[in-house]
Amino acid sequence: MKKKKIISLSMQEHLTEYLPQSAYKRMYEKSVEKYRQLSFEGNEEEFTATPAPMKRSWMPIIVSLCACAVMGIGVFTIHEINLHKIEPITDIQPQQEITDTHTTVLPLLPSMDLTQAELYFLTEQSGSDCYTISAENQAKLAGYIKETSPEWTLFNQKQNQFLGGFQFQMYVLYNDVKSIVYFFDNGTIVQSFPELEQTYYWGTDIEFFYQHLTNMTHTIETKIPIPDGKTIHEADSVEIMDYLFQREKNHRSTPFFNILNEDYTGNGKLIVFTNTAYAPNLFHIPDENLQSLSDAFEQGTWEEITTDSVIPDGEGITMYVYRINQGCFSVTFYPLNQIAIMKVHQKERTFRISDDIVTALNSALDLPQEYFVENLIPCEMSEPENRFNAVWNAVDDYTETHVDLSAYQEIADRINEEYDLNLQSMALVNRENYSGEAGYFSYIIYHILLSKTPEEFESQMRASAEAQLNYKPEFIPLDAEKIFSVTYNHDNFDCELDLTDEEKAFICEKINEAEWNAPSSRDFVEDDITEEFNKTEGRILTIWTIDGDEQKQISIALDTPDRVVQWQVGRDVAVANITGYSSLKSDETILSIIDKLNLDD
Amino acid sequence: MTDSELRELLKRSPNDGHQELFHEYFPYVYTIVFRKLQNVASMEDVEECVSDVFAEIFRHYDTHSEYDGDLKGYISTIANRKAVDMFRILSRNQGNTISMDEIGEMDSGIDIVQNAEQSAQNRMVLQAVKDLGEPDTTIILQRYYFGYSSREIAKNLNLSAVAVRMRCSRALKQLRKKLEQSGITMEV
Repeated sequence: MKKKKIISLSMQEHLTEYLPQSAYKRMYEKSVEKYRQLSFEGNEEEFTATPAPMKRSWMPIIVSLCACAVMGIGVFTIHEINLHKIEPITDIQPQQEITDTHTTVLPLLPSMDLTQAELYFLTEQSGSDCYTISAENQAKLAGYIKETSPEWTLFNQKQNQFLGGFQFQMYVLYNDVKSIVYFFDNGTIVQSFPELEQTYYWGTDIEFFYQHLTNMTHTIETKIPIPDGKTIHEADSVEIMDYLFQREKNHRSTPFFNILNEDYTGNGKLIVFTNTAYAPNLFHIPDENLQSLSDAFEQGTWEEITTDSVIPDGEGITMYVYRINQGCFSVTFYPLNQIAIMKVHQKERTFRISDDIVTALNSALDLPQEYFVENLIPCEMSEPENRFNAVWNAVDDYTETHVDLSAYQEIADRINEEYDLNLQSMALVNRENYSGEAGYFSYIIYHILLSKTPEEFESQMRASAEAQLNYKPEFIPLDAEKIFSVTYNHDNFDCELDLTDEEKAFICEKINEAEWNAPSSRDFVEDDITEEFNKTEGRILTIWTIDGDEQKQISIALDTPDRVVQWQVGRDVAVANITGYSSLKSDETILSIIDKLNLDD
Repeated sequence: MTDSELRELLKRSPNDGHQELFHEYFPYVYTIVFRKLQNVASMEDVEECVSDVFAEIFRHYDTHSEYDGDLKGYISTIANRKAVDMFRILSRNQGNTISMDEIGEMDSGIDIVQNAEQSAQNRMVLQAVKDLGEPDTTIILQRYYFGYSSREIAKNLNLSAVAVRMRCSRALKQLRKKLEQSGITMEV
């Protein structure tokens, strides 16, 4: 009995669009080649001659010559026709539109006055940020597009399926028209208008253009975060466009929060500065620096860019201001991105801040190497409330500790009220739990609670800092059976190693038995990984394991054996959950692996 | 391009005609062959068979240029025939004894209602894959539908193999989330 197909034929046909262009081309070339052979074999019977097993491309010519010599000019004539018929097709060309589409459908990009448009660039590497270029560069780009557009060729729409990966996107906001231009690695440009559902394709030699634009994006002036920290592949195009539009509307007119009216040197406040590392470091700013910082807040510019939650890249500094009877708030500064995120009553507002604020902040902080040890904030707390007692009781080692909360009772109340900390779990918090703002507070309060005196608190913090310095990430042993891929990168050439079970077992054994040093950098952030392992030189061996839903990898820089990293794949590399970061104590492990896998230069 | 226009082009310029014919009917032929062979053949075998089909079609038009029957029907016949030939060869080589009835067909235990549900579900899955956006859609389809390796996909898309795996992993998670929201639970 015939049964129904689950996926219809037409649906499956549609899926062939996702086959690689190389496969399409390969099959076409094979078809032609086989056709030639079939045609030749058909005529061959007429010659009653068996061709020698030679390279196919020469076969017809040689047979033709033989045929000419043996059978005379008449046969040669017949075969000449055959030769003409099987004239080689050198390459498959992009399918041109049969109609002259240039006359009916003009490319819209060159018709726009791009000097008047707003342009935003996203690259494969830009993660959750997009970029703008200077007016000068924008003018250059507009000029170049105008100049070269007559040479652009409109492709058949079906060519879309073979475009390959794109290098970057350009969002064009021109009057009320929104469109996205994709620049592909193979030198093709696609302009897409979501609302119009029209897409235009240009295929031409745009190498210069490509280089030109790439260079320009390297000289970016501004980074603009995409909402919700999405990457370019996660964010919906229309969503991004709407966001960019909204951003333009918002940032010009929003009044700033009352941070400018604060008396940062007044009594009754606890002002805490921390960095945004996994376990935050506290530091204290002298009153005179606070005043200069306050002045900078007043004089600098604050442009509100969105109410969305944005997580910029890079290190940040958070200023917590606990105000008795006035509530508390925090501002996290990201100097690199010139972004400040204010949080109050669980609500966030995000601002782009001017240079002078960043400069003042850096100046006020004046971070020494050991700032977190030398500049601790002395805090005293009186009798804890019941809630705090619960924390106490949860930690057996400290049940005898008395905490004086008299000075900062109200602050503690505010902290509880505003941030709703789970103090029960806070006492048991470990390093991995210090993520997010609540984590930072829990860290601070935890140590305050455990301290009778400022000296004790300082001692606690110092011990914590030292522990952080000596922190040794837990290495997760490799299981050879869980390895699903081993890749090897040499001078940016990436390949997958086809290893035997025995070789996999060998690698795992060597790595698992190796001794590990403490990480070389206590302030380790994922950027270190990216920087180190995206180098285009040197050899990198990466072992990928998968266990159920969990995917982990360990990368070893073979030429710099002190650089070994293991991490668990999370949502993206950029936000990977670092489970281990260390280095090997000796080169022996590396050398034995190199030797075993024949990875020598 | 209509069949008659294609025939005209084949007469006027065989090379251009072959190219156009291939372009026009490649998805159709590939799909037929792929459905027949996906359980027994490698990607190379599928490609080989597809090229056999077109070589046969080109040759037919070369020698029977006056043929004016239904082109699609004719192509379908050749594609099916070649795929079955290839299936027999591969099954013989592998020592398989699969019945011809099983080629490209569903399990006989599924009734019409189940079929309809399955079909609707597949449409949702495909839509969810497409909603992932490029290049993730292509990566997922090439990896799990067509069976290309990460390395091959990386080459196809000008990405590194590491990036392909990373995207693949991320896309699967997104896909799982989307499908769960639609009430479809994926087996792990």
